[in-house]
Amino acid sequence: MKIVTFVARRLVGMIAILLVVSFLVFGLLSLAPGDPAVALLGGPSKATPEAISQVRALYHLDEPLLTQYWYWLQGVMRFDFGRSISSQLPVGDAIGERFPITVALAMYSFIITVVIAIPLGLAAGVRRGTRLDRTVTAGSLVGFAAPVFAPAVFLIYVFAVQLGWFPVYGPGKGAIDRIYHLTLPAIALAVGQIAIISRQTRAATMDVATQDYVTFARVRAVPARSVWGGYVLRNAALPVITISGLVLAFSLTGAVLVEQAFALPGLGTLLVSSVNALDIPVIQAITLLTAFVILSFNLIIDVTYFALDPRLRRGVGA
Amino acid sequence: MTPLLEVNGLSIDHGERGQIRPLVTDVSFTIGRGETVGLVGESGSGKSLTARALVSLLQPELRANGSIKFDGDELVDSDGRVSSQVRGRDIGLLMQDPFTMLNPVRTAGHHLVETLRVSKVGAGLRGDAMRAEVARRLAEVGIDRPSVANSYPFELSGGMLQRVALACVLASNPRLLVADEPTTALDATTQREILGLLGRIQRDRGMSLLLITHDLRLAFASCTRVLVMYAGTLVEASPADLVRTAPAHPYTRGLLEAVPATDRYQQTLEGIPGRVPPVSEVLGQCGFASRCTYVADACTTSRPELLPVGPDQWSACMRYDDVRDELQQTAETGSSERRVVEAGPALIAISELSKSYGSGADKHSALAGVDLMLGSGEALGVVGESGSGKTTLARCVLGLTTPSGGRIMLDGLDVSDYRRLKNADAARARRIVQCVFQDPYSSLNPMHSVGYTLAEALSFRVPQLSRAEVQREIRALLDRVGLPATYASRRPAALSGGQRQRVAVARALAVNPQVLVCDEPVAALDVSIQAQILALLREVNEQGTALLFITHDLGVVRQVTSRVVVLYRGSIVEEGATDELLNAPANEYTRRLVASMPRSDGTWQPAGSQSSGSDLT
Amino acid sequence: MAFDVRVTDLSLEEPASPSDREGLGVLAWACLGFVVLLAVVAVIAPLIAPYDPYLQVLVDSNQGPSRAHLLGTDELGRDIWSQLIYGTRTALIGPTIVAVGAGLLGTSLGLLTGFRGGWVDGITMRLTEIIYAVPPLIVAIVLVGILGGGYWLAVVVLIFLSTPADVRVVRSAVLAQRELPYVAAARAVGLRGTRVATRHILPNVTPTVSANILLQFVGALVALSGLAFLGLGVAPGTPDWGLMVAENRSNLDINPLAVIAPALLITLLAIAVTILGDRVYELLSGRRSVG
Repeated sequence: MKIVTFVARRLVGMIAILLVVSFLVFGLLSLAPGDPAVALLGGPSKATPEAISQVRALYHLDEPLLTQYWYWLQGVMRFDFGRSISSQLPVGDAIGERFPITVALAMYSFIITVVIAIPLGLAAGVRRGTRLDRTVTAGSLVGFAAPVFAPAVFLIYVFAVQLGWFPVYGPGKGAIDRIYHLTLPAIALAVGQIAIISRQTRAATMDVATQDYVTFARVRAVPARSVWGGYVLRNAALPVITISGLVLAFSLTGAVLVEQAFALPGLGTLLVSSVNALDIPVIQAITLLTAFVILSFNLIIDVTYFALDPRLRRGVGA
Repeated sequence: MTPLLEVNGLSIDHGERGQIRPLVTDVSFTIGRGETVGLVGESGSGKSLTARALVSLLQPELRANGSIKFDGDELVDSDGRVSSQVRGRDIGLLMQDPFTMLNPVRTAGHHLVETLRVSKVGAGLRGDAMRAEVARRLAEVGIDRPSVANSYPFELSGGMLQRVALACVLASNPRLLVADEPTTALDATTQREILGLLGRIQRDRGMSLLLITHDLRLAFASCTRVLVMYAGTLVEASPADLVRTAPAHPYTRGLLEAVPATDRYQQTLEGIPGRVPPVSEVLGQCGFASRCTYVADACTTSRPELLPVGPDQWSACMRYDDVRDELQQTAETGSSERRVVEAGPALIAISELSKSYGSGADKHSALAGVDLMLGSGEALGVVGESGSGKTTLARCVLGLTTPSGGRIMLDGLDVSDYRRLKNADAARARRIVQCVFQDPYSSLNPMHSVGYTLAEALSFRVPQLSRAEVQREIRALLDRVGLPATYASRRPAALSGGQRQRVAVARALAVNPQVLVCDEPVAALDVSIQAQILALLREVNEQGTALLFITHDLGVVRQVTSRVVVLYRGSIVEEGATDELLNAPANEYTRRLVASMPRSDGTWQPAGSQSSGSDLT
Repeated sequence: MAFDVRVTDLSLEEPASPSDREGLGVLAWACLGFVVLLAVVAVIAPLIAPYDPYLQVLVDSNQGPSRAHLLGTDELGRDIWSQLIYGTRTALIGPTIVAVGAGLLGTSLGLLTGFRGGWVDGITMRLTEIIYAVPPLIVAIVLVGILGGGYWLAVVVLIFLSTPADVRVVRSAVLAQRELPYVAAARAVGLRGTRVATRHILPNVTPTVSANILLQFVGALVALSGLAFLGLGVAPGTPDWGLMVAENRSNLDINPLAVIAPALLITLLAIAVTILGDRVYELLSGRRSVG
């Protein structure tokens, strides 16, 4: 199968899922208690009759549900989700303001994860049964089971409150200060990710390292460096890439809790405050954005997989 | 001149001090320059471990003791580690499964180039010169299409993969090649080609070859000297001809008789009783004592040594002098008369049966118009290699796969599509046909006891049995397949492979079927166990149950069936009485198949038109 | 008889593999002991808690550990130790209901879709794909938040959000079993589909199902405490470990135990149940995982 056909096929599937998700997200409005128009105005106190009729017109609330959805979707395509109820800003702007912090946090923790988890997993997989392996296995169990806010408060207590090395709250100003402020949150977020990735890397390495083709490479006196790079890493990468989708989902969920714990003005805290304020347009936008990010990421994973695995590339089992 | 390889008192142990578990004990042998030696043994004998020790591939938790000298240099150090200095340079290893030996994400050429670079041979080669060298190396192993170098492993057949792997091993021009079951994962016709290739290359290069195999016949056909291994140690080491005609150890003789002959019918199929014991249980005694007919007190109180008993003939049997004459008396030669079961009226009638998978360009036809008839009480063999459609045929008859076309009649009942059958008819069909599958480890539900499995099958035949009657029936069934009644309470995990296969036969017989479909029922079992199961199936047939016996093994089909059809790529290419067909195959493919099995005397059937590259597809 | 089938391989049969005779092992026993201890505490909480966990004594607020208050008090003067003791209730009940509920739903659906295949399978798989497009906890935050919050609402939402994962796990286990010869043999012996599914396949996927239910307990525990931490789960004032972490966060410098202790308890419970899940799987399937 050509890569173009492959990507096209996945793209169609992704758009279909996005459409269904968007409809469900749109439906959130009708889930909110009471009249959607009142909800959009931010509560009965602000719902004067003329305000209500204004909102009804703006959101086409008197039309049938599908028509409403159609108007809404047209807006969404232009990244227009309406106005935030609490801040009265256009939703796009409200999100744009918060977006960089969450992205910085996610990237930061991702780098920490990759730098720590993959070497640890490889080492544990190679030196199976050693103290290092047992430590990594036990550590990943703890990191996997702990709720994200547990390492967060622990880090705050030790490094911010007790030792005073890092600030307790806030995002910081300027690039250097931002990195400084985001260090503890990024580590807290990375704990679970490291657990997942190192565990999977360990399993994949163990699996690949005992395969006949690795033994056969050693039999042929292929240098150790090539055996590790071209054989073990190359083949162990496939299952690790497969779970990176799970890691992203974990990271997005974790970001909400970490931002809350460190009082970072990111998308996560925006989601929580919007949920508390029943700010439906913002909730809709963040939810749909999440789905878009996850589905795009899965598409990238599929394409990477496709490029790395000749069996798929040459159309076997695709 | 010193021999190329000298192994002396080699032992391999597992584990740390205090908890040492021996796996190989006191193995000594030599391999001369340019010599081909066979190392034969069943699973668990320690033959593969010995091979791995030679190339320094023992797992870290294993220790080697004793001496391995290659060209005069000692390879074993005082810590029990084997030096890897000569591995991949002077000693090469060819492994069993060509489908897993090559890196799935790299091309065949990549492997070859990589190995050429490592050895001095290809160090300075670049571009076209390297490509030419790769093509030359591929040609040496019988691949004359250089484009194969651009193929990924999953795009090549087993035979091709094994050739590529061989070319990789040969890239460093080794002086000793260790081949560990190099043809076990291959089809019979490919097997002969690979062995022929190995022999030719060994002669051309003057290389030494250690062939490790479970198949005595293969060793006879390829090697000048044979080492027989049992329970972690050598029990015999003799020239191949002598092992065959005058075995010097009771185990060798047992093994010779257990192998179903391809070229004659054996009146008795004698397996070796019991199974291979763990090495640790037989340290101070003869490992074979518990299964030996000639066992005496001395055999269980001290360890026999491998001692010379004749010119170049070594045996580890303490009673060799007493039993020599009996050992050399070959039980049967020539064909004995076959008990022929008269075939009754047609029980299974298959016409124009076809089955295809996939659709469009991916459409692949497993069966293409098969006509077949099985009379009641008959034993019919279906012979074919992988991809011949023989298993699909069995699944269609059993209603586990729905055919794409054609008709299957069971005793007058049309069962072409089981899903369309009325419940009563489906039940009737089930009572006519039952099955025994290949893999005894997955064909029994691991969660249920033997008794549960049998009771379930019984309840299908006669629903209203009382508890006591069920118990009695189970006892009778177990007795019929040669298992004690106490086995009813066991789970499959507590049974050996042969015992599980007996349970599988008992489950099938519980329904009291008229036909037993056997799909490679002994292929997963050790040779000494195979004969027992074959004898059981022969007995079942003599008691009136017809057999539809599916196998790739011509020896097995010779012993169990009286009529045979040969399946090739979904069609029957030849059909006839077993003895006649195997003695004088008419079809080109059948001839090739028959020629690919070495005969009991270690010679190959003369091949018709064997071309070394005929498995290129 | 010319040939003797009694020449058998009976003399030296293999013993059953040792691992399926072994017990839980020290570590798993300790984990089980811990979980049981928490369950007992949950039941007899009123008997052993020194204070009413709801009782606000403002004059005693923000105290460090003392003889009167083992782990100190919070901003409103509530006893931390008593809150922890009562917190076992929400930590155990909700996750158990989610795990069992999703387990039952997911196992039946997984068995059905895996064994039957066809359109039932197709639809179920498409549905799980859609649900997987947004992480479950984010869906839970949005749904629970919009619908007005609360512990029991969160539990119900989590049951439905956890089910797809169960369906997938059970389905793939069923698919793997379905191809094994023992299933073909059971069908060939004449057994009906439902009997094959319930008597043959189900027992063989039980290890997977049981381990998965324990894993879902962990997932639900983490999710529920996360929701509580965000102020979306239990009602304010309820003694709940997740909520305690959130409420006492601002007093980290005065009484760190009020935050660390509940966070640690959640983590320990999650670890204990994860280990139990691993061990139960090994025990039921009679094999130990490598390494």
